[in-house]
Amino acid sequence: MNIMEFILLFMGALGIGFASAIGGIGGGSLMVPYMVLILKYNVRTAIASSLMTIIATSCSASSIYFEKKLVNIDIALILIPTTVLGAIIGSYTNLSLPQSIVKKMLGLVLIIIAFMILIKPLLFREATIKGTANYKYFDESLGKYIVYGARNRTLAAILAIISGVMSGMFGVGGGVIMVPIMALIMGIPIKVAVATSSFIIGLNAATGSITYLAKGITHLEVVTALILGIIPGAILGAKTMSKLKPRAVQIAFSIIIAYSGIKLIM
Amino acid sequence: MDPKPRILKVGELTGLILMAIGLILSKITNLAYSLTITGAATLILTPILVLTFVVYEELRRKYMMNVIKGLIAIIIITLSLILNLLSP
Repeated sequence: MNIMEFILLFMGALGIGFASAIGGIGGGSLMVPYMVLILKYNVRTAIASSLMTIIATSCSASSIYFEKKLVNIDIALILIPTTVLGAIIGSYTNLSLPQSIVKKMLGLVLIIIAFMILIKPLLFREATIKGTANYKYFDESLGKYIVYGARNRTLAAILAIISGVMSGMFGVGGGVIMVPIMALIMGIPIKVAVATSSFIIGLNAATGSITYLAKGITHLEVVTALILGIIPGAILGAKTMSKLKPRAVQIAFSIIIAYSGIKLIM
Repeated sequence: MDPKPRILKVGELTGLILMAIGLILSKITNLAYSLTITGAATLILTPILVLTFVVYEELRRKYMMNVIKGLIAIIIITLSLILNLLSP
């Protein structure tokens, strides 16, 4: 890797980390198109590198969520077995398909992700329906404990496989599927859903990365440059968050992601 | 005190430092690749280690259904690791 390549990867990851933290969106859906469309990496290398980067960002985020006791272990353990299985299926499917098809499928997935980001506020308007109240968490913004429950556990466990496949196959975190499963299908509060999903995403990415690393597809120098950029970017973004409108960033995000998706399909 | 956040932070930082040193030394010595791969392995193993710790905690709390679910996930990940190491 030459210095210029390192700088491009580092700066790109810095910007993606910054924007992701402000928009509250995972960086994978921007990282892969950035590497494929701008830096001209092959799609498989980009996916494998993005997946390893996601492990680092998930570790950072979930360590904070664990400290705040927002990660629900009961819920996580319902979803983890099927989602890691999905990640393995996804990574093997990626390796068995021709790159051109993976690229087109990635394009389609990015368009779906862009749409999901766009309808996010509508999607979570009804997300606080409660099941049998077994759990509670402390909501800092409200200054009180919120009691909640979880329903449709079997259905959620089955659907979680989609998030795993997406993560393993396309190098995106899968949070865009995991959070709606938890919030809409299981009826758990959005803050707990985001926190629990951040831990599950790291496990997904780790499982998928094993396959790519073992097959020699992951470029570790590229991964290092990306992680070195994305972590400070995310910290910077989190500090700037209050000064910018997250919704405007989300709309800009979805436009860029949709455009990237179309470019990948064409 | 909950050790899970500490495991995550230490794992991430150790992995990243080893990979960064490996990247810097890659032009000088062959040892660099070993450092980089160790860093990557540390990073990958960190969430899996936390999951193992979660299973241990659930075992101590005697929540056997959670232990079984966690063990199923660990077995799936381990099998994937073994299959990948054995395949050419």
